[in-house]
Amino acid sequence: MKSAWQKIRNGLNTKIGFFVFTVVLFALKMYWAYQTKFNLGVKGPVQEFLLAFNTLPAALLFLGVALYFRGRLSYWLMLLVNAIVSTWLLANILYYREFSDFLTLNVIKGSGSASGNLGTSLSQIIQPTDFCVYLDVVFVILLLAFKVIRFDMRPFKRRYAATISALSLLLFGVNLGMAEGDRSQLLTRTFDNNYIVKYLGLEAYTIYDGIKTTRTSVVRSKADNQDMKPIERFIKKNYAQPNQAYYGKIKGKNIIVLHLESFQQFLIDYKVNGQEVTPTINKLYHDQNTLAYSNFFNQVGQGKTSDAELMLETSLYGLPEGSAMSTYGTSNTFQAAPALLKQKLGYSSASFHGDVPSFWNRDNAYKSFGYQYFFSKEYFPEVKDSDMGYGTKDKLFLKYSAKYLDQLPQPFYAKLITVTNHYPYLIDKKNTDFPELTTGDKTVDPYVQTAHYLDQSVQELLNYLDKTGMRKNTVLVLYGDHYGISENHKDAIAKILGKKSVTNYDLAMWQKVPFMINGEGIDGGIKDTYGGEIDVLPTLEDLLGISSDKYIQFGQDLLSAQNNQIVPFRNGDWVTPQYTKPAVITLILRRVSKLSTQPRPNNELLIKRKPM
Amino acid sequence: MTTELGLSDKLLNGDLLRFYHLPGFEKVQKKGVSYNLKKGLKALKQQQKDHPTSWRDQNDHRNSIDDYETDAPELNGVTLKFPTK
Repeated sequence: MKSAWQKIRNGLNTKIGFFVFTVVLFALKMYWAYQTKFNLGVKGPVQEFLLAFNTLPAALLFLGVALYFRGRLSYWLMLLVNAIVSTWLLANILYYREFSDFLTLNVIKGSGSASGNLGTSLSQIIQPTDFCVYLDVVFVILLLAFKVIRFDMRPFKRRYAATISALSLLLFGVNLGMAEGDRSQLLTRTFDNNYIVKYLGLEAYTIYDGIKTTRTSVVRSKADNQDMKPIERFIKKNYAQPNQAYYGKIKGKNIIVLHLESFQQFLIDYKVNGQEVTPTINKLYHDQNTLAYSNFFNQVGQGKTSDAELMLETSLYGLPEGSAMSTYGTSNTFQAAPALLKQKLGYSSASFHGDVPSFWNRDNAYKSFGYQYFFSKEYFPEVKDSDMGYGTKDKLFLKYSAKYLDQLPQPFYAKLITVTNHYPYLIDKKNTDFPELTTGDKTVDPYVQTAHYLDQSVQELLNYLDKTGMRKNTVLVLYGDHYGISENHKDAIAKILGKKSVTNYDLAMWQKVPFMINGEGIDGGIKDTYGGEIDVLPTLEDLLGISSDKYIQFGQDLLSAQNNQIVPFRNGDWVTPQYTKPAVITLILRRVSKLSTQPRPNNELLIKRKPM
Repeated sequence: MTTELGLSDKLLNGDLLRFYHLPGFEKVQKKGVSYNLKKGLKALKQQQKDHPTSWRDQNDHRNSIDDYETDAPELNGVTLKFPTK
């Protein structure tokens, strides 16, 4: 026993032994903090493993810097670096407790939305165990002070230090590869800061955020008010006059936007084994008090749900890469629906979502949009088996939302974001008896089951609104945010459409999602106007009687006779009532045109629209 | 279409709306807004006092959640306890 302890001490008395000891303590501390101080939503063995593994590359890299220095200095540097990272960890723990998110460079610089709230009551949120982040530093200092560990004054070869740095990068590469395997496009789409910390660690998140913020700051700093001129000219030219027959029709009424996750237009009136998949939504679609659009398209990019939200709230497009709400939601200026409705018509506003508030950076973006309230998961009761996939199951979520909906000062603008009809379309057996599709594609077949569950949830919400009498004074806006079945499942799509195979035109039409506005007194009907998510806000403004001719919004009022019915997609494709431009054709022609010197007539890019 | 998307990207990348004064619209004030449970509930309570127009205000402060019927099996026999802090 004595000799084993002596061997350990001898090992610790070497610089590399001390380094390994420090790295292990540091990694354990980070893992402890991840498990106890944050709510990272770790699920499954891969994520559990990565949560522990991601502590190592950063520890080796940062603490390893000290190995390039000699003598006592390298020891103290190791401790100093540890103390600095620990302070950063502590700051994040405190910030997370208040805002359920991690610190960003924007917050540090004071330009973030939360900066004004920081430091108001640190004493109220700090907990004694938070200081455990310094335990390892203090412990090692004591070991050195009481000479349990002695300084190794021998020089540490630089090539060994470099090897450790290289090892840290290699491990980070492995870490990133495994993370991408479990959650593809982790860094390009920026779903949630929780994800980056969960998969790659706090240090990697900080560096990632720093790079992202610096990149956007450069573009931002070069911009000036002259850059607005071409935009203003375009908006003025693009503006469509409101439809006087509808102008102001819903003014003063509550608005409930029902965000139907991954809900595609083909589900409307679709039957499986003779049963309607969505009888409630079908009924709404055909209701005489519903303005329903049969040629309404989702226009999202990589930001998917967040792009849909951005377009609905601001009538600005999502970005070609990543999520605009994640990238700019905190720092940018917006003139969004909640703020416009409050300032113009005195509406209160709230968004409801049964998941963590940081997903898609909603907690910050909503503040920029002007939302007064954001009722996320922490506002809802904890009930066994209440979650599925991306948050609280729709039936529970909508019932919980009623608790706060009835407290909002009227008129209100409320957005309810459902989640159960989300890929991979999992629903427990006790919640469905609806038959699956029989395309043979396991990803596609259960889609109708979760859609059916969502439809039942909508029915329960309608019953509640009817029973309380709230519906009389409320306008419902329903929309599908994006496709549920991607174009990768062509065989299954063909079977759903009752075809042998699908064409590019079919796939373009596959991007249709429902959009309907239902309310007492609305002169409804199924409209075949071509439009998309970018057009929702101008349409609502028309119905609310808000004059939007000076607004910087890229959409057009769908009710306007001047609507040009051109629907651009984020990948450069577009559809109109006459023509459709799919990406595949463009790609082929681009490749061919590189080989050919002959100019091509423009109409080769176009596919004539088939009759419906 | 390309112009439209490009202009929208330019607007977002450069945060150009900070330069645009929309008549009758004031820039959103984020300071003091918190979605933290405790602060959110407090703000809601305060707003109800300032603007007593909610459904509850019009219905003797009755909680309407009892009117919400669901067949969700997860809630069978469950008494809902909403967090307050």
